[in-house]
Amino acid sequence: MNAPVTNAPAKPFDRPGHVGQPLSRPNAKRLLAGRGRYVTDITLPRMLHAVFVRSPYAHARIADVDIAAAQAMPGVRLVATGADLARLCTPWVGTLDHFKGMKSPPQLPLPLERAVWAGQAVVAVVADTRALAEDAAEMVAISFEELPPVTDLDMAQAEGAPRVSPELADNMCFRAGLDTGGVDDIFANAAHVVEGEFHFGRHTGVTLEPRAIIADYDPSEERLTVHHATQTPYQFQDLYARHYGIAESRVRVIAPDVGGSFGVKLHVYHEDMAVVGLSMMLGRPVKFVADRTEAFVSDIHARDHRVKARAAVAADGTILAMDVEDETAVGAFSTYPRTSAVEGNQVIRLIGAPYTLAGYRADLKVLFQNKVQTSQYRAVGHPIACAVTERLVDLAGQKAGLDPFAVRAKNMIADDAYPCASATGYKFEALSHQACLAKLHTLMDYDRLRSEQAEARARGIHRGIGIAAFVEITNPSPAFYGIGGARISAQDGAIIKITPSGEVRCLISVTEQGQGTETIMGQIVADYLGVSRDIVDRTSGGAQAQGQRARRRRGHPPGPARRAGSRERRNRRARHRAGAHQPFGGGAHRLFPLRYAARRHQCPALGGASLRTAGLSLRLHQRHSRLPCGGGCRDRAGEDPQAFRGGGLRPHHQSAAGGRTGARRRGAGARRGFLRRVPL
Amino acid sequence: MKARAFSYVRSETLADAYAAFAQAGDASYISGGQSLVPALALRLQAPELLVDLGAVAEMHGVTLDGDMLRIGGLTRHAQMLTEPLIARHAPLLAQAAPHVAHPAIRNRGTLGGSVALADPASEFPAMMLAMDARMEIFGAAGTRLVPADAYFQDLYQTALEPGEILVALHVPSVGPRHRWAFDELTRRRGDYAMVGAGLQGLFEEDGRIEHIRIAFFSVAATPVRVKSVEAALAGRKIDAALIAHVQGLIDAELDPAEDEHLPPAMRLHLARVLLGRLLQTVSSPT
Repeated sequence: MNAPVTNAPAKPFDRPGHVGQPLSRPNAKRLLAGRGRYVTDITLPRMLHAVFVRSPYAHARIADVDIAAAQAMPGVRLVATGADLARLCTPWVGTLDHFKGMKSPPQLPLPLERAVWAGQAVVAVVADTRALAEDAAEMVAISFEELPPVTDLDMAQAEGAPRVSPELADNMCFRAGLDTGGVDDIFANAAHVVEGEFHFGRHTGVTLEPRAIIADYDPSEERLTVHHATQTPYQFQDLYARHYGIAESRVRVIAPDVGGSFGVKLHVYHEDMAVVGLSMMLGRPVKFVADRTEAFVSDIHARDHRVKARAAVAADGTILAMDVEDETAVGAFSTYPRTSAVEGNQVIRLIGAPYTLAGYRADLKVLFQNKVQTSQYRAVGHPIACAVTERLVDLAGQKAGLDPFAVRAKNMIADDAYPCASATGYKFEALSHQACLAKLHTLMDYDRLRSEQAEARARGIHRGIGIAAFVEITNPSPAFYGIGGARISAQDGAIIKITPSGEVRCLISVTEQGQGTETIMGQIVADYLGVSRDIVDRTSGGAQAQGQRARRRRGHPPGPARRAGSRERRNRRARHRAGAHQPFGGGAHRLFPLRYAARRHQCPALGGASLRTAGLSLRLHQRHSRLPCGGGCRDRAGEDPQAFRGGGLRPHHQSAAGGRTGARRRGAGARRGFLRRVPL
Repeated sequence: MKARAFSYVRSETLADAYAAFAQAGDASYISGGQSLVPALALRLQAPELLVDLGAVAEMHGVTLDGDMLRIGGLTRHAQMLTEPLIARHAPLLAQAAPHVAHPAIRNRGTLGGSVALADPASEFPAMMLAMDARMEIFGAAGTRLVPADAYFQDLYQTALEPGEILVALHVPSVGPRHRWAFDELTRRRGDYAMVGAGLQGLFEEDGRIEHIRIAFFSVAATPVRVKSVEAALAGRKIDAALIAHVQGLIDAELDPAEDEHLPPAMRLHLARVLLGRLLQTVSSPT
């Protein structure tokens, strides 16, 4: 094993100061004092409120909609159906081009003919207040004719099963496989085969602040301003512009304070798209705030999986191969624009990731059913991959008579083996599983815990000790979606101004949802400029950094500045010269902002990511590579054995140890970076 | 969600409140509002009139009259934890109170409101059974007292007739020979219990049980006593064999319904575990 690795952050700047220090958050006091400004807090002049009449059926034909009584209710300004909005909004399809064979039906803000999950919005009512709109919504009469619903994996695949979308041949959204070859031979010759079937129930992210949006369309200038509790304002700027046919320069999306996201607030929701159309129909601002019951039937769900997995194990406990079938039931559509297939794709690619495997085979089926749409939610696919892998590893250890630590130590990728790739094709730069495992052993005082466990068992208390290793994908770069044609992110940016009085103003394109983005940016800027962070004023959320065409992906900070390879820059320039609109010539690591070429082609004067401001011009590079983190954690559970025998209902104690790349720390201190001055 | 529009009146006397309720076609009383207001917001209930009982003087305050403690129906859950008379004379309520929801709800919710609603998963209604309380009810014929055993009738159904008001709870004061215990099993603190129970008994000097009342909640449509267990304990001293014996009686006493969260067999198992713990607790003096 290599020498122990410390977690001390590298010092990227010549003036040490803020980066790597545990600092308080400058925006915490404002939020704690109740002075946050969330979408819900915003009241615009002449603003109206939208509510939605929802389908009580998982699958039903919409036979008739009678809105006359609702239109006559007090304070009602508009009652709109699917057909009304379909006249303004073009349909969207939640597929990615590089997922071969993936299919999904087109979606509209509100359905025309069929409701496809219980809770789907069918009719919109806009009134002077939310209460009046709810009163009127009760008066909307919809005649539904029930259709047979598809409600689980087996039903979705059954012979003669009802089809969630009649226009598609079957209920298969996407199918993919991985095979290193030789897997059958390995299993045939293995000393042991261990296997299990794993069922995962649906999860959802429950944010303190629900989804919230105000669309404000000004017909006099054909200008749309959207105040949106979102993680991805620039993505929505593009989507609203394209699907409603508004020039992108006239669409502005502002993400003010956002009260938690967890991946829930970066997908296209039918209500949100509808609200934009409602504002266009009325020429007035329209607000929609999902209440908690609406959130449960419309926020994306995740992790509805059934995994059958087995491992071939040698007599000495060496794990030779894994063979995996993952079936996942998504909603009636694939979610737009990130799709509902990425989670399953990550499950089959992350299983076995921390371990050396000679063979690996996986079969993924993503199936439609009549439930709420699913998509990326926190740690996409990781918990499923980790649970399956670690159970197989435990079983392998039991078969070979090895302790849980010993079987892991035996099979983990060695710390001196990097760079290397997993059996599923993920490339690892520099992880440190062995050091991490050794540190965890010490931190948790494993031997003492085992003796305590034995002593407790004698008293009838059944205490579990679990060990898990994992590899976390933290920043797969804009190409992750861009290669499939989803215009989600290209290059993030910041505008840094030094004012005449010597203060620093930093406008960042990324949003803050509670994870400390503003603090991290303040640290980096203060250290780079060699000033106290107290004079650095930060504004996040894209509202004002918009002019520079910044793009971002997911909830991660832009990862301050790592030198993009010179070859990549040459390629970028070459593509620009060629006017390339399809910039992805190479493999998945050819990371280039999808829209970059098109942008520059249209607006050469803006010139990419170079920023010109009054006093100083800086160029900020995003780190363009995958950055996996290794880690391990353990959990003791089941402290109430009488009541919860073998249950684990009351997790008792947890600890975690980070690997070399600082697992779980997505902060400045964990990464290297630089800012490069660009001559004026 | 927003409640449908309703009228609102705040009455200062029981008679005024009763008359206002009777006059309206469709009214609800409101005290702490911790169950009613969410139901209104979800439009599960949409009364034309809300009659606020908050200003009715007889429903406030805790007083001791002889060996009977009178607890006004508007006494907040949080007061179960702070009121000295309750700590001294009805300690089972003080023991149950920390398990009732969360502080914000305890600050608003009232004892009378909880017992009037009679949610079968609530702690306080079951404690009324365990403590042998009497309900002071105001109605057309004036005030009457109803024993807890006759009060809980079916799911959310009590001896309260439409328009009647639960004014106060009368609880027999505990003496030096009483012992009591409360516990519940929840997935997370503050959740509704999977199973909960409270007991209160009078013990002989030598530790034998003179009589005991044991009430379970979250196991049936109403809070319920386990009378065969109570009878089997009378005159006996608690030991391991006795605990095992009465745990064996639970299956015949309780018949929990199938539900999506917890199969009946699991609920019965938890009820046996809980009964054993509570009896263990009172096997030595409180």
